[in-house]
Amino acid sequence: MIAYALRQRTLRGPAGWILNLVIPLIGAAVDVWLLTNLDSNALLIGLCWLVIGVVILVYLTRGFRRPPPEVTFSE
Amino acid sequence: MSDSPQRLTRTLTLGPLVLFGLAYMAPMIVLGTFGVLDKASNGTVPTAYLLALVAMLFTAISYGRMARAFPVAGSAYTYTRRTIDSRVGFLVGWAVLLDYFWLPTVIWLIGASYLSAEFPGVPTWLWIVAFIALTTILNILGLKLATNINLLLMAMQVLVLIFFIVLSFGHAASTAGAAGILSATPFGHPGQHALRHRRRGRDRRLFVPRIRRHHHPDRGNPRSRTYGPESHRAGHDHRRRDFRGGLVRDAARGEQRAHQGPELGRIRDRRGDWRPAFLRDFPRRSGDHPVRLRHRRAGQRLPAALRDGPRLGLAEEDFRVRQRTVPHPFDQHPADRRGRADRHFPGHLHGGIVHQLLRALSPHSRSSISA
Repeated sequence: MIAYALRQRTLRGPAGWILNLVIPLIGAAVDVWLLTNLDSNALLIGLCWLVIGVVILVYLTRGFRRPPPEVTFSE
Repeated sequence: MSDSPQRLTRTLTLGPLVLFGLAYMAPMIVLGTFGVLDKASNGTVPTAYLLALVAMLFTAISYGRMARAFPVAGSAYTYTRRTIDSRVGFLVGWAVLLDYFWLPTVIWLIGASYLSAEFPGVPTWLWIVAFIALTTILNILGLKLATNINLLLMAMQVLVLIFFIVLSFGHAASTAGAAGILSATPFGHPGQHALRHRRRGRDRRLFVPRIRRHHHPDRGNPRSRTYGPESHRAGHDHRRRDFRGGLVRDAARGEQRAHQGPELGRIRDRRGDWRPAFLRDFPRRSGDHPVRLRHRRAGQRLPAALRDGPRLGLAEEDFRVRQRTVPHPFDQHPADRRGRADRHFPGHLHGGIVHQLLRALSPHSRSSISA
């Protein structure tokens, strides 16, 4: 959301700042806070899953030399 | 990953889509997890939900705006891919996959543990397999059917929640008057941090099936535990245990009770377990039926028909004719009924209305339905 706002340059005026920066930041902050309060086992499994994902990504992109495959949902 | 892009059709309109989102949230889970949350938050469940609401609401606002910016399928995967980086997008999609993997697992697990508490004769894995089969079939049959079933389930959940809210207000008003309804104690009270130091590390698991309540590592299968004299003679451990299987310390309980206001008071139910006072009038589960308790105390299991008769609204005469000379599998000790093919079926299917109907419809039967 914030990256999109930065690219689209919509951080204009108080409404733009609140909608595109403050609200996403609050949401993300509480999400991160809840995430750090998870059970240690849950964190461990999540991190393992993430590591597996990175390994697959490295394999698919041959060490980030190729763009990753894209799933296109056309309608 | 194929060269030709997959085709998706927009089946749902806005209404069913919102319904899907609500069904996804499983609103009735608040009733199922209340006890655990109440314990973990020391009686401040509403505050916990308010905090969670902040996270959900603000995240939802962002999602809504992104959906407007990129009106295509893919959710967080698409958004990250198009705004930040395709590789980061891949990892986000990968993480979301974990969610879609665990969510049905948790739902099935909770559902199966409820059902196996109700029907102790059916193994838990059988319920889980049934859930998997049902949801898979629904998904294959298509979104329209799934939407209709969603609507049905949601209507039921909303009805239950409305009843629950009305009854809760009624109870608060009748026990403490207007002050009970306006009380801020559930949102925070002086003693809410008292037990915090005891909830560190591995103890903070959110969900533990209640079947482990009386489990003791070297005392056999907890499900087969009976509470009668022969159980005491066999040396079973009957000391009260908490939901993790640890011994309950009375000092801790007293401490927990002391700092709670009257509207959050706890009472002992008929089994001697603590539960919130406002749930006093709700039977904990069918196992707490007074008749059952009396027989359990006497150290004998009830015949299936007698056990389920009151719940099905049958009078005692309705099933007296069907009493057997051979004990029903559920009335025997589990060790004695090993090898019985029908032991997996819930008792009331044999002794209840279904059985009666099957008997009446059977060509060999001389009785009619009215008999």
